[in-house]
Amino acid sequence: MNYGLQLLLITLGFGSITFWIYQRKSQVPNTDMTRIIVGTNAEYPPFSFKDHDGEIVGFDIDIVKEVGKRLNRTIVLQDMSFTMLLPKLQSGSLQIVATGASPSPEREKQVFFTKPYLMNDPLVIITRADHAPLKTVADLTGQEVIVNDGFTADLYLSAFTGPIIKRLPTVADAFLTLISQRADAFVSARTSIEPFFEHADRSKFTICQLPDITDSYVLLVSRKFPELLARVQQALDAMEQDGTIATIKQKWNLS
Amino acid sequence: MLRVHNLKKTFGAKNIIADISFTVDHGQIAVFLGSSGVGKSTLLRILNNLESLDGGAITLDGKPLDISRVNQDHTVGMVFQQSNLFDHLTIEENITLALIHVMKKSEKEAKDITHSLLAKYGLLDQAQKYPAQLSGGQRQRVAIIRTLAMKPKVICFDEPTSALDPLLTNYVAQNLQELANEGYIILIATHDTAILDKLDAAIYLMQDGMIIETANSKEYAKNPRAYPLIHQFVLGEKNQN
Amino acid sequence: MINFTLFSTYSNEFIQGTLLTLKIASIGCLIGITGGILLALIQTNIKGPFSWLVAIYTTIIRGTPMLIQIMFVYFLLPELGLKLSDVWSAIIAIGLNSSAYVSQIIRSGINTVGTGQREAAYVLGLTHFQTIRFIILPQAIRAVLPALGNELITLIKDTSLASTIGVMELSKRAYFVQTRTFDVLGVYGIVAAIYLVITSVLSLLVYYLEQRMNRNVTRS
Repeated sequence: MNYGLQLLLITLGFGSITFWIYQRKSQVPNTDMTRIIVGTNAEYPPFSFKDHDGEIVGFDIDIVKEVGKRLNRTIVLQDMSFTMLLPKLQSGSLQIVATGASPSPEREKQVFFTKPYLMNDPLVIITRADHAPLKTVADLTGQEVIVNDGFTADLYLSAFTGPIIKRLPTVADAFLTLISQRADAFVSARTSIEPFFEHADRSKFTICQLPDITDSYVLLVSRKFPELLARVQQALDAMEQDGTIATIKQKWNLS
Repeated sequence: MLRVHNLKKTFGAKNIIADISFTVDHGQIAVFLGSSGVGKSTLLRILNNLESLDGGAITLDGKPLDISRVNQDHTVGMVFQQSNLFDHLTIEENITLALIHVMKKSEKEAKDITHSLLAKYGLLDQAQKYPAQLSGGQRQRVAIIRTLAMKPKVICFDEPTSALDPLLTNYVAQNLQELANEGYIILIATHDTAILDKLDAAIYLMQDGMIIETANSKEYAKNPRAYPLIHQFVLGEKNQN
Repeated sequence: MINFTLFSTYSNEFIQGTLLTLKIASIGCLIGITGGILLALIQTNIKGPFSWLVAIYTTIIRGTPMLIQIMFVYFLLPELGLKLSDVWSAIIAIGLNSSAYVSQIIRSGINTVGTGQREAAYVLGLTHFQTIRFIILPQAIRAVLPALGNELITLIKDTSLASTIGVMELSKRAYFVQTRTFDVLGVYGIVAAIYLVITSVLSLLVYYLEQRMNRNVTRS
């Protein structure tokens, strides 16, 4: 096959791919007004996780389903890893992400945040019962402290130079490492660790609340759908007003 | 003088070397002639402790020869059919390696010995080259030099002409004769009958692990028919070539 | 395609991550090659239980996921009395893993060295050990240099598994930046470029080394 023919085929190939990508990008994403595609990473109880039957359930799931009801649209849930959620939200293939996320100014450059519907979740320091209790950030100086990647505890503690921070992906990883004595403490929002104690012995651990810092939770909305953000926020405000959010919180033992 | 009495090697029920005896004095050449598989290479390999023997006695200059020490003591040396030079080392390094690490000579001493031997064989300008850059004939001379550097008493040559251009046969024969004249005991295993008339050697024709006829090469040249088995072998080889 | 503002804001993260990745990979590789040579020599020169032990070891290591091996070194070794930091746990696990693979590579290299040269060394009076050191190993390693280079490149990529025990190597640093900025594609672009630069430079080095070692040496 001569050079000329090869070059021609390559150009055609690349040309087709470029054209196809351009086509897809210029399409208005998901104009189906009867559904809302919601992405989640169902590995984070109590916000989003799978129950015994493999159904995706959780506090954030209930919130977003209720929002869907009020907007008269069906919620279609898609479960995927965290790193998949964001690019899809940005491209518009997902419209909302409900996965126990917390807001930050830097993150706001990439996505819309609703106002928080759950706030004042304290951060706690968990140590093994046989370890000296740690009560403040100062106590954590020189200690090996576990946080979960990207969670509020991570962002908060990273600003301090005292603690030796160890970042692990999940709550389960954190407890395993703590129990194996490969770290001194685990710092996390209280809601994230309560599910762990359903099956673990609380008396083996000491839990102290950190002063001056709490976590809050929001829904993420794709920047491709500004009008959706407004309507979702309206629905959330209404749910707050008429006590629906309080009911859902009670269901999941949150305050 | 190298005396070999009743050498024997078996493999299972088969006699690879059946019952071989011969003597070779300093300055003499012994040629073990035969087609492949007769045991001539095995004989040389036994003398170099590359194969074990199952029976027989060997003495060198009146004393029993401890085969297990022939390599360390540099009593016996071997030049292989394929030269077997170390491909990743220069010609100089091929020769100095054993001088330094086995004979424990200093680097300077080793290089001096190497250079004088290379010069003697006209290969001094190849000292920094690698085996792959040399011709087959040159590689063989390097292999000989590598063995000579160890100053052995006995040098074995396994098929010295087989890997080479037939035109080089004269040259190889000349080298072998010169080495004998310098006082080495030379043993050759070969099926190449062309070198016979270029050497003054004792011919031992072998078959099935035994010596079936002996002759002096010069005597044979004068009267081949007096040695019918050797003559038959020579004619046989000529017909094949 | 590459977001330079993102890179400069978080340049410390990316640079520290790259340095740690290189540190883990290079020490791991050193352990891998030294261990690999040792294991290969045992398997080719010693008959009996030592050899069998090596064969069992390489089978287990090559047959289990590296992730499990890292966990083992990090969580279980302390129970047996050896407590290493997370970085060193990763280095040791990766090094031991690599040695199992390298030993098989070197074994095949050793087998390419013909019996002729071994016999020549033998009749010259070189000891078994000297033959290995001067004749066999140098040629074995020359023969398998490309495979060894590939092993190093694979190691660079394997270091990302260390993130599971919290080691802040490059991929973990990337995740760190992602969670703070939510700019997944931007971060991936930068990190992919970094990995590509590292592996390309390594490939070139291996190629150069190979050329130098084999100049004039290959049998025609």
